[in-house]
Amino acid sequence: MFSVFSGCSPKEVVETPSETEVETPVEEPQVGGGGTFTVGIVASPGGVFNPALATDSYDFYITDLVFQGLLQLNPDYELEGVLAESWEVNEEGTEFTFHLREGVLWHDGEPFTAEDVKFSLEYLANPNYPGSRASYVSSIKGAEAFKNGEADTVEGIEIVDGNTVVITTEEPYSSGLLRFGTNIQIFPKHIWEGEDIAKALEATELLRNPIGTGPFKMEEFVPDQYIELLPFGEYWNGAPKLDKMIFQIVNAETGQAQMLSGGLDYFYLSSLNSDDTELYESMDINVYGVTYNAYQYMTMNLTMDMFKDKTVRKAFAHAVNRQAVVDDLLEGNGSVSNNPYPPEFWAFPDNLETYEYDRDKALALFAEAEGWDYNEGDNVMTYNGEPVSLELKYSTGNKVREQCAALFQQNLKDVGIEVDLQVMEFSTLFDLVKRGDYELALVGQGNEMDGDIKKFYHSTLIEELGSDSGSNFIRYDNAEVDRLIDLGLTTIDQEERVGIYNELALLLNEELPVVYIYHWPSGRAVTNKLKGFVEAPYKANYYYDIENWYLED
Amino acid sequence: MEVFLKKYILRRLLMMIPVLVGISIFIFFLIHIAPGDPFSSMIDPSVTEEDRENMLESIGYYDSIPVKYVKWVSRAVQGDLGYSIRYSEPVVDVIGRRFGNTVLLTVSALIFSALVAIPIGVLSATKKYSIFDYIVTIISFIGLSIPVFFLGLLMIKFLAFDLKLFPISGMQSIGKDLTGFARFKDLAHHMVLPVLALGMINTASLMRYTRSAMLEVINQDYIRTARAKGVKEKVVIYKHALRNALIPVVTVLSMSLGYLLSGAILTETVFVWPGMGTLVFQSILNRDYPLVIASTMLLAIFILASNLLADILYAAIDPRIKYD
Repeated sequence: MFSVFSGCSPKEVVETPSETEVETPVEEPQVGGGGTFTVGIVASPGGVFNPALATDSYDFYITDLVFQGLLQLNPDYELEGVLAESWEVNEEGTEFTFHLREGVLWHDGEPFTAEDVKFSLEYLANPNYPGSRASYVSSIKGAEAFKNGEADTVEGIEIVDGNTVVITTEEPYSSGLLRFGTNIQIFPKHIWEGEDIAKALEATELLRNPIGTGPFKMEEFVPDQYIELLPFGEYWNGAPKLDKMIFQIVNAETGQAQMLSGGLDYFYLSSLNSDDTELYESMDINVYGVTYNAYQYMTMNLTMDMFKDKTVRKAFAHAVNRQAVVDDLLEGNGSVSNNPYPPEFWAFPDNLETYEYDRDKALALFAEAEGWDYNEGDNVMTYNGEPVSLELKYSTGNKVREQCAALFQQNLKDVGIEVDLQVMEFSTLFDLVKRGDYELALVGQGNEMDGDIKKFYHSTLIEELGSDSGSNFIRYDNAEVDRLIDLGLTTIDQEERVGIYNELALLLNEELPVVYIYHWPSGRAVTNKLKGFVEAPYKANYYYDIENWYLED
Repeated sequence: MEVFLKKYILRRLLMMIPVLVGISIFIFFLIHIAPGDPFSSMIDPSVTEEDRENMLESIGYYDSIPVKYVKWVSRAVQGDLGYSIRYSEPVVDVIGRRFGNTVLLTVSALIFSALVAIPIGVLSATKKYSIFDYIVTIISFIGLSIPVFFLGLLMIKFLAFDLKLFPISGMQSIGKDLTGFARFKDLAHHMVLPVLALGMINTASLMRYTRSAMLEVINQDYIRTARAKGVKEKVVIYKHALRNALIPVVTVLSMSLGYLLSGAILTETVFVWPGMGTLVFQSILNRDYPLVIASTMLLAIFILASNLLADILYAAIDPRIKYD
């Protein structure tokens, strides 16, 4: 009765994909036949469908289909050409050359050119640029001069023989290919050059009707309800097989029911748990975990004297039962964290100290630390003679983290530390943490794919207490950590980089600027009617090879 | 009477102006004092703090609150309510697209609850302490104590998921491009569950009010007189008693518009109804300042207007009430 989305495609067309195709002679690109694919998302995109201006993660679900970068990461974490056919980097790591693909068209039929690439890069360097990605190009030679109005173009972005773009940086830049190739997506010069850049965020019409080079083009955007995308017939890698893609806004609680009843073909799950997984699988729906390159942690305010000694921080790590968080709260979907990188990530080192849950060890470490004193009889921990009573701040919206707070409260009580739980919404929590107005707090942090963690740990990014503008808001200051971060950013050879980042991870594991708690996957439920789908370990390539996805009847 | 009423409405409308100014100041300061900023939920690890600050700068985040307020008022009186930060669209358009949906839901729920609650309330008053009265009382207490989101989820579970009688969420079947009557039917189909859920929370209390108002009136002297005169019981109840009992009921009904609006926030979230409820909720979480202020102001106007409506309706029902 209420099966709106299934069975829309005529049966006879569905047979076309892959093998059978060999026998038919090459014809005009044939669009579709692969069915209507409905994706459930739990909040509406805002409608800023421009890759340089979007900041909302729900907008990216759309821009990632409509727009493309020069390169992309495949599921094996290797670079592949997208709008660039080939690329090279000079030995010093200061010159990045991209040979562009020929014959690529924008959705409006205009040809894609090197001018579009130059435009998209310079856009970010423009002094009036109102978006969040100016730092992506700040390392390019002449970007500063352009920004200050001293130059008309960015010197380090050059078009050579019409179809090649060379980007030159001031200093060796190990992340250059990822940054320029995959983080920056190209949008059309002919559409956007006439638009006042300072007012770009008010160009509602252009933002809502994006023209890209990607496999899908915008058909209709109805805020708070749905987005409809159609396959782009002239897509450079062959027309997509799906007839239509619909992103439907659903409620996080009832989306599951919609997925189970066949109303959705694909649904993002914020977390995995075995009951849900079993339920999905009993209905012929596959559930895939996607590892976040991220970690959840408990920060202990490092500006307070009581937390300055790493022995104390280690004692806390032993005092809380992180294994129970993973086993019971995450139901085994995830792993205990002891450094910033998840086990699946290339920078993850061997021989991490694991800080097992061990009350005796915790107490032994507290005994070692100056000022801390434990009275077994009353079960009271004192610091400088005062009983220790701390506030643990955390935010709503993540069930595991909420339960984790209660568990830690219990665990810390076992070592005589009173913990007062304070729950608040995320914006408030984050603001207080950034200003240093907290004692203990539970937060999550994401990493970049190149392994760089400068933003969070480098001492030059600390601001005074009360300011909310330092990105190293845990206010961690360690010269050796700084050195390794800088070295990683300027080393080009990937093997050398693995060594540097392993060392960095081990150092953080030993110093424990925060108590790392867990790494976790998000999930996606996918109908088993979907064929051609490539399981990707990271969110970075969740749409990998989408032009070859189709629904089997 | 006509002239009095016009004057009265005009005076009430003028009185709304200082009230609205007060509300705007209050909301404006409250939302700006709250910690966080429009980009604090942006946790993209590749965005630097400097870029984030530039973005905040460009939306005037670093001005002091009184300066921000003066800027806002001077634009607002010219009809410019600014751009929504999240939607990159004039606030007026963002709200315009959703307000109608909320009014549709709220008014339908109001009509539904009036149609159900008033007759049942009257019946249970006339059959005081009968089995019918007890059952209604029990049901209405259950109705009063179930939170609307829970009721909504229950309905989705049984009526939409198990029995597949209604769609789970949304306000239209997506990807069907329906027109005309088919479109209306589709909309009505999608409306059933949210209207039921939202209407229920109101029905229970309205039923109680109707019942007690009726009981009070039935014991009045003039009702006894009417009965003593030999007027038929039906006429006594429906002409003499009901009309007088309706006065407090109308007040409750009009006032409950505001109550329904707040219930709509939850109902809309559960049923993914694209109205003001979800919008206000999301815009507060995102600290989308222009949108928060404009939409809360609109809700305030809506509630003030419904109170005014209640007062005017008095006159239509109770000729004794005079406006001066």
